[in-house]
Amino acid sequence: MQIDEQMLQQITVDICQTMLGLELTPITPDVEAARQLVASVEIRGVRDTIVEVLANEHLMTSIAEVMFSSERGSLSENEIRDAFGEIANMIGGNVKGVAGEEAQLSLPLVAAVEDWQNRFPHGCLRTSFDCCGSTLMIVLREAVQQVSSANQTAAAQIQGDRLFECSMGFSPGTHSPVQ
Amino acid sequence: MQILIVDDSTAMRKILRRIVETLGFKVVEAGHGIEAMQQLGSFPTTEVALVDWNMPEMNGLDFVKAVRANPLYEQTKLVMVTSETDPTKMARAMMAGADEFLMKPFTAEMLLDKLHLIGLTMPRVC
Repeated sequence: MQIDEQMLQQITVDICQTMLGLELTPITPDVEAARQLVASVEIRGVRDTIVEVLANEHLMTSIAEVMFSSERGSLSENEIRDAFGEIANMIGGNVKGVAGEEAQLSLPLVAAVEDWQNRFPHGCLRTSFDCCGSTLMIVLREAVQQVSSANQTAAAQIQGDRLFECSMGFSPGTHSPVQ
Repeated sequence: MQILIVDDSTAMRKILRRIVETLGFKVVEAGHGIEAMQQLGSFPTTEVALVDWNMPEMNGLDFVKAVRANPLYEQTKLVMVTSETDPTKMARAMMAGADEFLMKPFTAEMLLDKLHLIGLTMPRVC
């Protein structure tokens, strides 16, 4: 997939500004909190690529409130995850378009991860922005075909009666949709 | 005048609803294609459906095919509103009976242009 950091930045800025009116400022990748929400989609084609969007809960709540035009504190966790998943879906769709390969886009998956900054594999492409005073990070990486069960479940989180799998290491077959 | 918004994302449905309600349309929603077919059954005079591509249960392309297979919905315009940017897929949707295609991200003006392109008369211009 021929995409560089500048393209990834442009796609993200276009989506956040056009759809949400949010101002994004590119920054050097920085770790600001251990616990992050991660929304991911998988592009299944010649090579399977995962697009991940990471933000802390405060930022994601703020973005979701913009998307829903809702008052502060009025959204449910499901609504916040839904909004986050849609952002990943839009970024993933546009990344797929830039790559120009015949591929399928999965439905988005949303998870909460701990210690996420130590989980990125070498060779992934990532870009970061300051958004409303918090960090919004976009990561592109190849899907891992074989992962340990420990890695798969490391950041799993139960929300209600639904299990959101860790997005940091799954095979295409385990990338199930958020219902 | 009524618009059906078909998208599995509640947030995206809210964004689309906000735009078209400003234009004076009444809105019904569905989270996937099967639910959308049920909504069309309840509101057969729906003039336009804004349809996402990637959805659970029944995707946007299958929904377009199902709508076009039913003469009852012959007059219903179908606009794909999706993150899909693959020209092959766009062509497939148009061949199946979609009337227009709008890629995410979009602005209210871009959506309005598409509604004009399919010949829709706005109930109220804001």
